[in-house]
Amino acid sequence: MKPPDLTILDTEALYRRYVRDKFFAVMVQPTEACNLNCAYCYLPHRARRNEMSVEVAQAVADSIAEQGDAGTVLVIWHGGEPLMLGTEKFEALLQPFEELREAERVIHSVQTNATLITPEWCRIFRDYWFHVGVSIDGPRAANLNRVNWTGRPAFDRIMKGIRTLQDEDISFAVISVVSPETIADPIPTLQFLDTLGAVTIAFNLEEREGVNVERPLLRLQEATDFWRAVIDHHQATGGTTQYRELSQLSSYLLLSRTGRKAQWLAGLHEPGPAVGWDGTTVLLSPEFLGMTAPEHRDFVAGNVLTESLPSMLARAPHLSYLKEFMRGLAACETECALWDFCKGASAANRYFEHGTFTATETNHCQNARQAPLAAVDAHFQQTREEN
Amino acid sequence: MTANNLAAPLADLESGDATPEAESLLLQLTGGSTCTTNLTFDRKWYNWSKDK
Repeated sequence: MKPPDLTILDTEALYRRYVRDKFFAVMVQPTEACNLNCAYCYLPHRARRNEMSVEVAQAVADSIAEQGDAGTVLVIWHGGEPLMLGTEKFEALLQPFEELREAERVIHSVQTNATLITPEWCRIFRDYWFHVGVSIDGPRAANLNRVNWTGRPAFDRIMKGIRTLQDEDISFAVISVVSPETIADPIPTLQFLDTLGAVTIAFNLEEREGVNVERPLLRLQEATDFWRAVIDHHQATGGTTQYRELSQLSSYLLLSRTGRKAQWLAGLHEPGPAVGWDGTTVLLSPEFLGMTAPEHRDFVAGNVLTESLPSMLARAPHLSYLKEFMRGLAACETECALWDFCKGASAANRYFEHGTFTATETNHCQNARQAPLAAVDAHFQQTREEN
Repeated sequence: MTANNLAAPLADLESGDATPEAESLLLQLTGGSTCTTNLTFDRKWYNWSKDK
């Protein structure tokens, strides 16, 4: 496809060029509250004890139904810590989705810090076919940023929850935050994560967003060294673990090498609705929930109690931050050699790093897109030299 | 834009002098199944492969 003409920026046309008209995932934040107070957390209101009502959950389910036959929708229960609701309240929020789940139009997912997992939670995960994601950064020494509100490390409680999942035979994926404290010594973390038996591992290299603005940034070279260590470890251990960024990059490269790149290029950005506990809805990134940004009306696209998600998406091209983001994507497409692979990285990182969505390159795209690519390239170069 | 420093390596990896070792590593890194979706569903908050 020919790159857009940056002198004629029709943001509505750009929206149709870059963004799906329907959502295949909706993030649901049933509470802002979290029982942990991790050093790198971006959420401003994680001490607030609020809870989503069944009416809000019903409105989300109604929106999915209204979308019609748009494929299976992922309902991602996030937070805060979603398990803070307790099993009874949480199970009540699942009821509006039951007809859709039984018709396989909804798949539930939950991302949890694991500290509250009990056999009763495992019953819910099993009964409602949950994809479970656990947040743990590594072994005890690499997990020191994950602490409770008195500053006490949460490692033992996290491991207790993970052992409960294992005992109950519940599969889970892992998200591990790589921070300035841990990035230089990845081997203990890689070895530890191998022992957990996770279906996939995702490394989120710490990002500057929300209220996490003062900690040091990870740099491209240390991120490249980190990904190089992951690749070497992967090979040394027989390559059975799936690492999110490396898996996606390799998929792109394999498709390109076999004449199937068009399959990859056909993908469009998710509109990314995220619904807060009170029904407030933002688009593109859940990091915007609860944020203050007067120039973009706090990123609010509407409230699902008074307007359906499909109706909000129909208005989305006219939101100021969506318009800015379209211009940012157009600049990426025009200027960046990695566009076909990346297709433009996260909106939230652009805003929180640069104060504008028209920015292109971010620390996040360096660490999560460029660094894995540089690491794979370095690995192949070394292989060639050795041969 | 530091990304453009990777233009040549990316082009090389895309076209590939497709050595068996390279193919083998890439296949390993996919975790056994090539996903056909791109990165535009930013999975920072989610880590189940929908392709599995």
